[in-house]
Amino acid sequence: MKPLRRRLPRARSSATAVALALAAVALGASPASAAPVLASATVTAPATATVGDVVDVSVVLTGTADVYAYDLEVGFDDVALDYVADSATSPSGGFDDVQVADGSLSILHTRLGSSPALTGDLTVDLQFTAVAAGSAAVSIDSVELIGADGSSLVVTPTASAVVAVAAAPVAPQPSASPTAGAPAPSASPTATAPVTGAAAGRPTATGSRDDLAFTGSDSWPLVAGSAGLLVLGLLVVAAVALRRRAAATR
Amino acid sequence: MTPRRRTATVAATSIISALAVGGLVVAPGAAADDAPVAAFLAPYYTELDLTGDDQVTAADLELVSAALGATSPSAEFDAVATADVDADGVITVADVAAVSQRAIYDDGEFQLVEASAVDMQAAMNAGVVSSVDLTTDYLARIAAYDTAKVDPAADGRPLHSIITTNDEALAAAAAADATRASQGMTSMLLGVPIAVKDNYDTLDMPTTAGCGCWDANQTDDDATMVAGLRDAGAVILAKASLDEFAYGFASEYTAGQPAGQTTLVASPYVTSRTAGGSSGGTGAAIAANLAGIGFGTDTGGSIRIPSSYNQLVGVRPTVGLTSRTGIVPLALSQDTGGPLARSVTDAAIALDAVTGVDASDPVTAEQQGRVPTSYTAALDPTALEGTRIGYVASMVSTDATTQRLFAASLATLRAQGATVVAVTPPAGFARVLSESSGSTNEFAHDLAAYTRDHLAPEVTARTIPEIQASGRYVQSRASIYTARAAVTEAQYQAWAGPTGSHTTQIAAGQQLVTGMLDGGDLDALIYPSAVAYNSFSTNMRLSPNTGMPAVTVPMGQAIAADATVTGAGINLEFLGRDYDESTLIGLGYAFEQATHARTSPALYGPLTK
Repeated sequence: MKPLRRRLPRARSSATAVALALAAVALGASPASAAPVLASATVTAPATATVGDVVDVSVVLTGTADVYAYDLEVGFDDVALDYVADSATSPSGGFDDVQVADGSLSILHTRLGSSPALTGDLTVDLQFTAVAAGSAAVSIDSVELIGADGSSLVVTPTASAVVAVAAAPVAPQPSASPTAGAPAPSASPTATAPVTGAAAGRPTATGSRDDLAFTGSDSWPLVAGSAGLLVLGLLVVAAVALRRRAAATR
Repeated sequence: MTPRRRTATVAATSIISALAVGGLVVAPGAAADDAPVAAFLAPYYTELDLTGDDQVTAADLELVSAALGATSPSAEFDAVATADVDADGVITVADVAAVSQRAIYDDGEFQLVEASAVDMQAAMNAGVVSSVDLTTDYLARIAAYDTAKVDPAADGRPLHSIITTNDEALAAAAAADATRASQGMTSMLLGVPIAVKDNYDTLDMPTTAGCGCWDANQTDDDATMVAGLRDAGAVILAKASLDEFAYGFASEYTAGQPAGQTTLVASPYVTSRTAGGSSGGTGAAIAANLAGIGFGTDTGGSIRIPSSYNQLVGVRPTVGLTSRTGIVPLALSQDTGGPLARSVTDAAIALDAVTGVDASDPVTAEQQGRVPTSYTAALDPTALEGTRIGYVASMVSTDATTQRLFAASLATLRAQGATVVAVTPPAGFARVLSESSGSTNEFAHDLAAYTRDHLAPEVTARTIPEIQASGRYVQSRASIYTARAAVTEAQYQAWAGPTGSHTTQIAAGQQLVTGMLDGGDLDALIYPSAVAYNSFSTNMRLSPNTGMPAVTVPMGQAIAADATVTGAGINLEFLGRDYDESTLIGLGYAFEQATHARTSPALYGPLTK
């Protein structure tokens, strides 16, 4: 049995996201020296889902610089959500490793050899399957960035989003109209946690606890028994599957 | 506890083959009984390997990432303890990154000009370029630069560094790319385009030795060294120009020209000046980035002089380390083939591919047990620490450039931890240096053997008199050819026979200079290889008159205040014991890393597309 990697408490409360607190300061904090930089981290997830749906979640590290490798610890409500194996995306090129445990993912990416470090916004898309009703949080529990010179920036804890998972609809009636009553999708909830100081190259030991841009955890009306939504969900699944197949053959 | 599911992927398709492949592959049919196949730039790229294939691959990264969080002591930690690069007793993402950085891989922008073999391998492993790309680009540079007058100066000249480009080069490059796709990086030379002096036999290009009289010499064999390069996956790109039959330092040749016409090879730094010789085409071509790595031959300075004139690293190997079979000879008592390269690393990589015992050149039997697995193991930036290096004051020219650069070099060597001492040479040292070259007494004899064993039957000029009768040679040297043709077998034996005077003196020289090293507890002797675009005294004679190896490394350039030849490069040469190339490569590497004295010739920058 492998020893567990560090386990961080998962954020289970809905509609909250904790601003970044910098637990460790990058080595060589002088702005001129190469050291990893992270402006903010966000988790984006649909406000609602129905049991059986595939739930697309995006983790975005914005405003990064000098990222030769990263390790993301992502927590999720494993009562309501199942991680879809191999669904985590990564920057093109490099080496990736995803370790899955109960309610957490360890997502590692590293560049290879003398390849340049990454900069800008880094996106990791994840997929979960909604398996039980409930208010399901997905959180970034820890981010560690490694610069090309080996310097490290650890940020913890960070942000979360909540998906309201509704119970599966009762078996649809064959006569139900497929288009009736399906609400238009609204904006996805996004949690943004700015990093105070990091963008200027001077990570500080504490982060601000405000500036949450979290919206919508309860804004999506729960719709049960809608055949239209079920169809919509199936289309989304199909579209996602097609997109991933296309990506895989790129 | 729920078992973890772990998936590891390497996104770029090419790296799966490039990095996940196991051991090295030895091409069949190696012409020489080769030393063990070279590791991939030991120790830097090999020391963090966990899977026993001497390189960091995806397989290594999987092992490290699977052990993330493992702490010492534990069986899981111990299995990958090598990967705990920061030695903090726990395997972290920082360790994964540190191991990953030892992969030969780079997906960043690739710049051909001044690219090293490592740069090329890293870019090819990442799929950024292919060997076909590199070959195409070098051929384009040759086409654009070699015969054009690039230098706007009134007395500027074209380089004329290449005699033939290889029509098969792109096919060889495609084959190298296919090998990489199916087996990974099988060698540090896989797909690297190489130019060899046009006295190395090549199956796919004529071997003229620079003489128009031999334009038709399409041999049916490769020189043993060329076969070694091909076995290592290198692309033989072109044949470089040379001083005709490797006679001298001017690099004047007649190949491809009508009778009475000759061409001089120019240095890309000061094109009114010669590139030096006799491997001048190789020197000019490698300096101007017309090929990745070059090869020359050295009988009395012919690798080291063009290295010095063109700011290159040159290796004159111990006579016996590299086979001369299939190389047009000048004087086999002193001929030896070796690399000219833009870095010590490239030279070490190239040398690895061309060593080996070759039954058809018996002197190579000496190397048995004396060749390391890889010369790259000597590439240690701290190699100068604790060493003792000697120099003989009379071997240092008093011109301003040499004085300035040699003094700075001594300071650098000392700053890097070497003890540098002036050596009073023993009686007999002057005699070592005054022994003349074997070229006068041996050329006709050795040429006859080449003619018999290798020269294409289509070539009609098979003897020196026939060469002269053809008119297609450097006619101003008629008297030299005539004198060499007049040497009798008896004269040859009295000179180069088993008890000949030259044979005896070289052995005495080897003994005396080895004694100087041993007596002074020295790792090497140093001296400038040349002065600004000229040879100096008898410095070039020390290595051939002892058979001992030398490595020459750029030490800087002449400046206007020197009032010599502004822009001229001068090299520092390290001479050591027989078959101790590793020590010299280590010293040269540490010196190179401390100085980075080589510059790229500004006239020959990247081609604009």
